[in-house]
Amino acid sequence: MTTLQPQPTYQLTGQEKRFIGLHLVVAIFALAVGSIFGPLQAFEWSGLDLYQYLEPIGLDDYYKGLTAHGVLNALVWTTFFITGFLTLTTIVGLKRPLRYPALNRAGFWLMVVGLVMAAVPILAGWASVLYTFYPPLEASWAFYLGLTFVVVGSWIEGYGFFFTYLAWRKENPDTRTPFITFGGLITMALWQIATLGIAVEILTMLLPFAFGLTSGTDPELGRTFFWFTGHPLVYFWLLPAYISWYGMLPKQAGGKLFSDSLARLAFWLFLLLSVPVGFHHQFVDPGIPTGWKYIHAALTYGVAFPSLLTLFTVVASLEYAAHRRGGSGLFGWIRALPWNDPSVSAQLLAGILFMFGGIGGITNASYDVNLVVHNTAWIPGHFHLTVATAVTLSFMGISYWLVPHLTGKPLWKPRWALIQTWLWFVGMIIFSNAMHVLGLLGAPRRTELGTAPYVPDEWNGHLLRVSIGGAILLVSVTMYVVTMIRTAAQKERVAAGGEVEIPVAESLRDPQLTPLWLDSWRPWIIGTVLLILLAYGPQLVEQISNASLSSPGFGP
Amino acid sequence: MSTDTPTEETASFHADPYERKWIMFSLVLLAAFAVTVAVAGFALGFQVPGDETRVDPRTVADAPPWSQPGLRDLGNGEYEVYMLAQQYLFQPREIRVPAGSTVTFYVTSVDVQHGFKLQDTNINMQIVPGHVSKLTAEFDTPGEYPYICHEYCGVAHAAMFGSLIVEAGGDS
Amino acid sequence: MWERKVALSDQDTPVGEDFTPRGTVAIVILFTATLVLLWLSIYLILIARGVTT
Repeated sequence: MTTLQPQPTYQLTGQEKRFIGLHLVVAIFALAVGSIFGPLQAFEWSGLDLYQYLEPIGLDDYYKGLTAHGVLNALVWTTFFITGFLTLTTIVGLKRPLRYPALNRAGFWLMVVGLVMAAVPILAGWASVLYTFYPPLEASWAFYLGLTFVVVGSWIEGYGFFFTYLAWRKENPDTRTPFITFGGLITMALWQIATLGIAVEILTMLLPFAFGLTSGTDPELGRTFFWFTGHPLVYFWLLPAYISWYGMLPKQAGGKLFSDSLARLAFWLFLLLSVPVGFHHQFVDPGIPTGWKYIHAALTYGVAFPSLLTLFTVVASLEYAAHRRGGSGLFGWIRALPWNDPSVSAQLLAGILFMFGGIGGITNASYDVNLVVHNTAWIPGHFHLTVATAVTLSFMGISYWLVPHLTGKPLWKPRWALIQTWLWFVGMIIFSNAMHVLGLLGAPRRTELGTAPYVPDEWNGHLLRVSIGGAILLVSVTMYVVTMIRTAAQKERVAAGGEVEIPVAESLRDPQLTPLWLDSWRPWIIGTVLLILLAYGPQLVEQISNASLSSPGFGP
Repeated sequence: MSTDTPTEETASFHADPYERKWIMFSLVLLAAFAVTVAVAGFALGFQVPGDETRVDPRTVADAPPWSQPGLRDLGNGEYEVYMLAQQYLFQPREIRVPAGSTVTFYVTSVDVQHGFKLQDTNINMQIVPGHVSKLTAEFDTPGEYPYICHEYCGVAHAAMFGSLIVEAGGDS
Repeated sequence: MWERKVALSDQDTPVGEDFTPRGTVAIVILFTATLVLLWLSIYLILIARGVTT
């Protein structure tokens, strides 16, 4: 049943390697700069205000730093890493070059232009509106336009993947789409549909307002548009990590993908269910009937389902790998995994913390239970387990093979890289546990708590733990960035024949045996559009027909 | 890829028997969560804010009831509070009610988005200009309950809070 | 360079079609128990803080 004969692999050309590498350069630069602000916030919470020393370089404002941290880490690091990584999964999976490389290059450079346009007003303090930019807080038009260019650039790169897929499909009408490519295409399709929300918000409301063409906005309608995009955004971040967990990590661990059918089903369910759930971010908003909020809560439980599938399939793939390495026992096999490979270690640790991220996520989705945690420190505690660990630590792990592969140079000090992954794990446990507890005690998020007059003594110990976790994370991210720079900058090259290969896992069962309905776009796209119309249509009609651009702007 | 490509007829959805059990169990588990929160929300009264009235944020503070934000005694231990949120304070800043009171909060904003979280209770609302956020709760335990702005509203956001004081030995 | 260099070949330890993911079942059971316990603890906080209508 299993196919054991070696398969021909596609060798990336130098130009392709440079193009993917450019994405990583921007991504890692954004992570490096954005991550400086995170610990500054954490220190401020425990009363250590370092902003006063940053006044000479104009970074003395907590909320300017918070905006930069959110935009650079959650939007720029992720989007650039993902578009670069998915370029690779498209080319390598399909074993053919991009259909229109110039189109992808255009998309990339548009993203870079957008990034610069958004970064200038953020650092100048003209856009301290955080990465949710809720109106009527006003930011410079350049901030909104820059974000638009980043999104449109990522769309264009996505079109490039779709054209490449169509060309491949013409050449291979009866072959199942290789899994890593399949996952990347769904991620990009999800992204194109999901970002329609902020596209409409920015183009119809925020840009005209920022240019002075309208006298106000409708803030609640803006929130609805934002969260149409805001929740699937987290799956845009997460699915590339899942591509690696399902389609690459099993190979790195010495095994195979346990279930091709279920892996593909999970990805389709994410496409189907990740958009029509946005009201779960608006449970305590005025202007939305409770019945609609509950419908979105129920659908949010639905989108938890493919993640529960993922838990089983990924762990089973790893257990299979461990058995092949001679592991055994109910839990003893875990030790047989290649923990001393930093790329594997990073992704295993990311997966472990993601289990707790998932538990918190189900709590947030729980309609009335959300009253306990809404807008408290619990929320950043939660998403530092998801986007800042499941996603970010996995991306770090991916780059531990990807950068050596792209540069032809060995990973600089693998042992350091291994320590880096564990420091992230430990730092994040301390940080996020303290944040969750603070949330239950009522501490608000996105607040310069060091200056808040209402902080009770019982918060102090936890605020200190936030700082300690933040300090460990700062050390870890610094080690990561240094490792990446030293790897790329060193003179030493890997010996001929010893190149780091791209890990692409085979499936335990031939993917050709996976049914065709799990490799057909039409039913799933139709289902996705229908479900969005059902879950969002009536409220969108209601809110748009009652829209009132009566809320004038205010500076932060 | 094996050379003898399997035909469509042999293709089938394949999952390990244990995995199939996990699929069924996951669905039951998620359904149980959905039922539990629905019972708490719609039957036991642990409810979230819904759709209330719209207002014009530019003029809302000019006419009653918002021109005189504060506490109103409705009798029988019931009170309502009309509250304005603005950069960077709540009006009123302090409310006093006797223990055993039922208080309904109507909150709106005259400028940007704010938040309203009454500590140690389930009152937790986004305050959005143009809309009124409303929730009701009963206060039996005397003490001070700070209400804090938990949505970023600008540079002095951290200073924005007020206090509900529940007094022992009230007249009810 | 490091451990991955000694990648396993398909011959190492044969694991056939009869592989049963017992450890995986144990892990998902533990996960579910943790999920239900932690979720319930937050649910009880909600109940303890009183009704809001």
